[in-house]
Amino acid sequence: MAESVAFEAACTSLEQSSSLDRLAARGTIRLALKQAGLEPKTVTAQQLGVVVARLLPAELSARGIAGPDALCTTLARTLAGLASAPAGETPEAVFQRLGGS
Amino acid sequence: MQALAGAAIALLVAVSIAVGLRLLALHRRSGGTPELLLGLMLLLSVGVGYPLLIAASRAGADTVRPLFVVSTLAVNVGFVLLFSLTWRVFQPDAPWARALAGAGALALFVNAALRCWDGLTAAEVRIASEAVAESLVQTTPVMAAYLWTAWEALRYHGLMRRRVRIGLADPAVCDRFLLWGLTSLFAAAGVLLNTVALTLRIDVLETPWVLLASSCTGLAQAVLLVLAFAPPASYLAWVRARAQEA
Repeated sequence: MAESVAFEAACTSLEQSSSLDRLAARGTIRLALKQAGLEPKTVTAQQLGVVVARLLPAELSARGIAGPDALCTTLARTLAGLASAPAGETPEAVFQRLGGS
Repeated sequence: MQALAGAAIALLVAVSIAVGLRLLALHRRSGGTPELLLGLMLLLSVGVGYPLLIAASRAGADTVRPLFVVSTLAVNVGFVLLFSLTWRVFQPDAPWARALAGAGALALFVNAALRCWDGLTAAEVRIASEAVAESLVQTTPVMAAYLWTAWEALRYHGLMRRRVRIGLADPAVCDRFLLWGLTSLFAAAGVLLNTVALTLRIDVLETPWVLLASSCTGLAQAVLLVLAFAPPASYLAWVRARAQEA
């Protein structure tokens, strides 16, 4: 199964807006997703937007990337422009339903 | 001690039937497959299979065979559904998970066929005194289903805890993965306990420590099942408040 559209869009945007190459950009976003307990294959644009706002600035700073906040603003705009795809039948959605909450 | 064990088993059976029916009602509304699989699994394995097996162990010669056959089919079909549930919910795209679920289902179907044939044709139906090897053939896929389910649920609980920390998930749903993982672990512990007792030729119904341990695993499963799939509003509020404080 391929990575999600939101993941691919964020990686492309980070690669184009920073000095990171493709591999480093994908690795940086993967690390931020791991911290958030999310997976590249299933992450949605909305979830990735939260990760970009709350975790990615620190990841970029740790790699010595200049202007992490501006970069994250660019990424957030890219993600906001994506059509909100349904998350599908994730374990989280199933267990939310099974408990009635 | 036997009264405590009896009460624990009765409570677990009653809770499993109630939660199973609740999940089937949910399936009627939502059309979702996981609620159908879990609802039927609880009803068949715990709600029908175990009580009939106990009834068979006490039944006379005229009713023991049909009770044994129906309980064997209910238990084994129930665990096929558990394999299917875990595969479809947690690893739907993984070939290894499909293979594991398929192998588990095949083992359960073959064993059910052999046990039913034996139950219908043997001179005497052996329930509590079956050979260790026969018992292990039955309990190995059951243990595998419970342990795989526990592993997947607890692994996902780890992911959900990180999501809760940044406001991306509901603490009550995160807690549900933990409860389901623990339910499966206690169920596996109960199966292991009975297998060890059978291997050591210990009388399960007459040995206090076996009865006590067995009662504890049954009671724990009953409580965890209710909190996971029929949670009182006060429990959900408590879980959310605790996460808010943290």
